[in-house]
Amino acid sequence: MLSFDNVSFAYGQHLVLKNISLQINKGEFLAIVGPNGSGKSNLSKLANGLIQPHLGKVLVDGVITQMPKSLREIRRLVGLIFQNPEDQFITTTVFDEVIFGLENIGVDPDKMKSIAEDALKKVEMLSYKGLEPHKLSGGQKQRVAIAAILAMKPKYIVFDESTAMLDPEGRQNIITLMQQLHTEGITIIHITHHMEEVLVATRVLVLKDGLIVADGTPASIFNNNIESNELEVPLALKLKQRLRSTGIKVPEQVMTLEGVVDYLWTSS
Amino acid sequence: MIENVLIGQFIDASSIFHRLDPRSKLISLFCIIIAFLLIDNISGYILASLLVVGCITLSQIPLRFFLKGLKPILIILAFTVFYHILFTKGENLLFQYSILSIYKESIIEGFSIVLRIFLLVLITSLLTLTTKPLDLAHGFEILCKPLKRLRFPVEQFSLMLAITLRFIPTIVMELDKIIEAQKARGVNFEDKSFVKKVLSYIPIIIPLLFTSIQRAENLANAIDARAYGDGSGRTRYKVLHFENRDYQVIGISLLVVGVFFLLRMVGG
Ligand SMILES: Nc1ncnc2c1ncn2[C@@H]1O[C@H](COP(=O)(O)OP(=O)(O)OP(=O)(O)O)[C@@H](O)[C@H]1O
Ligand SMILES: [Mg+2]
Repeated sequence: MLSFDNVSFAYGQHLVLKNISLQINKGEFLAIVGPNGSGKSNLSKLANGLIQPHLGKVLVDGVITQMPKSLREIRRLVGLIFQNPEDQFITTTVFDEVIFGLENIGVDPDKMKSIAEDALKKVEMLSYKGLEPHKLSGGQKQRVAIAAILAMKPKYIVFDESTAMLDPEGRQNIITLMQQLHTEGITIIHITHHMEEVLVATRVLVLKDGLIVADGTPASIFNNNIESNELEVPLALKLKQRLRSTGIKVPEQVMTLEGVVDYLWTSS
Repeated sequence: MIENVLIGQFIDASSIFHRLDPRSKLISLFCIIIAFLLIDNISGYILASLLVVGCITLSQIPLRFFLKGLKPILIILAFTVFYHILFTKGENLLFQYSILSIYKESIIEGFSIVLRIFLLVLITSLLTLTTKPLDLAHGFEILCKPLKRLRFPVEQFSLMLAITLRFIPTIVMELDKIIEAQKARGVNFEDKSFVKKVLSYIPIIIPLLFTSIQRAENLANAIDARAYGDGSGRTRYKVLHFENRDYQVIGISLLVVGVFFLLRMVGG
């Protein structure tokens, strides 16, 4: 479990996270949304000890992130994928990139090759293993970043707007990968501005000015928000809501455009 | 262009020099440089030239790649020759015109300095032409290990070197983008006047500096997030191995130093 206990964080006088308490359970697929500057990235950096809370504490499987001794293990457990594909590619080739993390956590050199190749296979980048980063697309670089994290056998992966700089295809690719990893037991935390991406989550958190203003299933969050208009509601949900208000009873659990169309096609 | 930067001057082939451990190449180069600095007579120069020609032949790399390395220093060499011919004095006067006098010794001295520099550059090119920059950095790192006792951050330094190589293509591409963007805004890079030329580079340098600082911060986060710590408990995937040939080459290099030392003692 990843838990934030009354966590506050500030830059100088500017409080960016205000007394946040939050528990993220194993097996969840949590989406975090909220306007620019609401504190999402700071929350993700707190999760693996890149920054430390000024008040309160962050615990990863019961281990507090403030302990310098446990930082390495915490960073192995909580993988972080950033927004910019270029700036998180540290080494000169795809293969070396995966090896880098393994070296850092002190894996036996004889085992590194097979671990790295398995991870690259998982993201379908094995055939690119000798290539340099400037020969890869943004989406491919993000997949290498994911492989580099996977090789370290994490329990949690935080994606901080990792789909933001990709084209629709690259984005869909990463989302599918997230879902696959989620079914394999990795807890996923996905920070995004794209509301359709939120629909695949099991839980949604809305952050605003350093506070959690909503926490629930995607359906409940959007239903409550359809009137207040603070979040942009995905088209599928808007359509579903309109249809329901005119008496066409699209089931509550239908979340995608295809789902709505299927229902309309088969119901009458 | 980008390709050139990334692999440095490395030219792939399968010569003995390509197969040697970077460490033994570094040690041997060090020996040979000492040997060449010991030369003080004509037989030394002949022997050294034969040695260099022999090595170049063995390396299977076309001569023109070696000559490329000489090009940038040609002006300095020419200047050295003229300086010696015009300003050093000797015993055998060859030519005199008003204050200008030229001696046999100064001609010989000028040319032997140039020959020595030629030989040193050629033998150093042999190292950089047959070794990938990263392997060189790795070899350096291991040879410098003793410096760690003096608190010199050997591993961090090596990572820094690797990252520099990694980001050269990125920054070159960025430079292109910025130049195009500024051209589109009407910045003129073709002005003849020197001051204007220098000024026209300001709109390139400032954005480049800005993005590079941003990039450095992101990169630092990515490195930390992947559990790169203080270096303790870190393992390395690539382990360098000394083979028989490595010992042989180092032995030969030491022998060469001995021979050149003797030649200097004996004179002739
Ligand atoms: N290094 C920093 N120095 C000072 N203030 C910062 C720094 N990093 C972030 N902030 C401030 O902290 C606040 C929260 O930033 P954060 O990056 O967590 O927001 P975010 O929700 O991730 O926004 P975005 O959607 O733009 O990524 C912002 O007001 C920002 O200005
Ligand atoms: Mg952010």
